[in-house]
Amino acid sequence: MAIKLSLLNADPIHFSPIYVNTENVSTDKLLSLYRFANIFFPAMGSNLVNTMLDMEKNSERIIANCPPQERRKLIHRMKDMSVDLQFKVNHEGENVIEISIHIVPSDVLEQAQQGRNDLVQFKKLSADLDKIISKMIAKEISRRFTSKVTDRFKSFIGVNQAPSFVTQLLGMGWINPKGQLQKGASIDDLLTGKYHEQFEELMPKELLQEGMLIRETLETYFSIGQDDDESLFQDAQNRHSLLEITIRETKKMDS
Amino acid sequence: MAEIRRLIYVPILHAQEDPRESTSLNKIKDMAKGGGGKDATAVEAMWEGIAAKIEALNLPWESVRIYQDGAPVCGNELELAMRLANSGSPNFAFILDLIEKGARLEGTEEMDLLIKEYDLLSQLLMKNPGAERKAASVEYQAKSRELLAVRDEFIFNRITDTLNKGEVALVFMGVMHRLDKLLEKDFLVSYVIYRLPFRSVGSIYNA
Repeated sequence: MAIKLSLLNADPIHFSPIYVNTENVSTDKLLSLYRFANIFFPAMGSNLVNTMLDMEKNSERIIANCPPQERRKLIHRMKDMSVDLQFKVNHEGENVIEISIHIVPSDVLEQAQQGRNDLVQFKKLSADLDKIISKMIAKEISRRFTSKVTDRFKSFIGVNQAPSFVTQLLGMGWINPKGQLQKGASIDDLLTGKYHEQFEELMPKELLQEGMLIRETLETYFSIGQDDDESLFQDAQNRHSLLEITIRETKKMDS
Repeated sequence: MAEIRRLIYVPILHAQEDPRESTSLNKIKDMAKGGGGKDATAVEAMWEGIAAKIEALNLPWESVRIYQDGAPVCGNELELAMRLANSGSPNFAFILDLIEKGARLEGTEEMDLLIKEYDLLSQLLMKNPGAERKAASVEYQAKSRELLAVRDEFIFNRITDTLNKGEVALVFMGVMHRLDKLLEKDFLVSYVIYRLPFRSVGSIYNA
C-alpha cells in the first residue's frame, strides 16, 4: 500500500486527517483542465479543492451543525474506517495529475470536536497551506528543468561521437537510453557535486544558470522553518542599513 | 453599497546596493524593458521582474497611491525617497520612476515603530557569531513578530484612511509582513505574484 504523505509532514495535531499526496501532483496542463472543468463541471472542480481546504481550516465551523451526541455516536461507529479518494487525469497514457486523498472520518470528527481556536495554531496552518502551494510550484519548476536536462542528454545519446561523460553516466546507470535521470542520480550532484565540471562542459550556460537559480530557490524554500541564522542576519543587516538612512535623513529634514 | 477599493500587493525583499553603483532610474527603466542583461544580480533580477509586471498592468498612474514598507509618515516623503534611492535602494529608485509617471507616494509607517525595529535590529547585529547570536536571533524573532503585527495594523489604518474612492493602492511590503491578510477584509487585493515564502525570488518573479 502506498504511503500517504501528510500535508508537508506537519505535526498531525494541527491538521484534520486529510492527506494529500502532493508528490504525485503535476501541474502540467493544469490551466487548460481548470478552464475545461469550469465550462463543463462548474459546480465541481474548484469546489472539491475548496471543500478540502475548508475541512482543513474550518472543520469546527463545518461540524457545528452536528450535535455533540450525534458526533460521539458517529465517531464510535466509524472507528477504524477510512476513505480513499483518487483524483487522476491522464494524457497520452501518462499521469498528468494524480491526487490521493486519504480521510479517516472518525479522526476528522474527533479533532473538530476538540476545537482548534488557538490563533497560533491557526496561523501555522495558514502558513503551512502557503507552503504546500509553494512546494507544488517549486516542484513544477524543478520538473521543467529536469526535462530540459533530459532533452540535452537525449540529443547526445545514439550519435557516433557521444561525449565520454554521457557514456559514463549511462554506464553508471545515472541516465537511461532516453536521457532520463535515474533513481539515485540528482541534478544537484551534476550542478555542484563531483561531476559539475563535466556537466558544465556539456550544458548551455543559460541552462546552468537556470539550474543554479532553481537550486538556490529550493534551498531557500527548504530552509524555511529551520534555523537559518546566516540569511536572517543578512536580511537584518539590509533592513538595518535602510532604516538607519531613513531615520537619519528624516531627522535632517526636520531640523 | 460601498465601493470595494482596489489594491495591488507586491511582496519584496529588502536590499541595498553599493551607493557607488547606485541603481539609476534609467537602469530600472532599462530593466523593465528587459535589458537587465545576463549578469544582473538576484536583486536586480527581482526588480526587473517586478518592474515588468507592474508595467504590464497599465495602471492609471495619476490615480495610484504607493505605500512602501519602511517609508515613514514624515511630510517629506518624496525627498526621503530620493535620498534613499541615491543611497542605493533599487526599491526607492523604482518608486521614483513611478512618481515620474504620475503616482503619489504616501507616508506609510509610524516613525516610532520604525525606530523600535531599528533598535531591535541593532541589538541583534552587535552580537558575535555563534551561540550568542543564535540566542539573540531567537529573541529578535519573537519581539520583531509582535512589533510587525503592530506595524501592519498601523499601515492597514493608514491605507484605509488615505486611499480615496477611485484610486488604486500599490503596496510594496517585505515578505515577513502579514498585512495582506488584514487588507483582504476591505480591499480587492491582487498580487503581482502570489505571496510566497521564498527569500530568493528572482526566478519566481520572472517565471
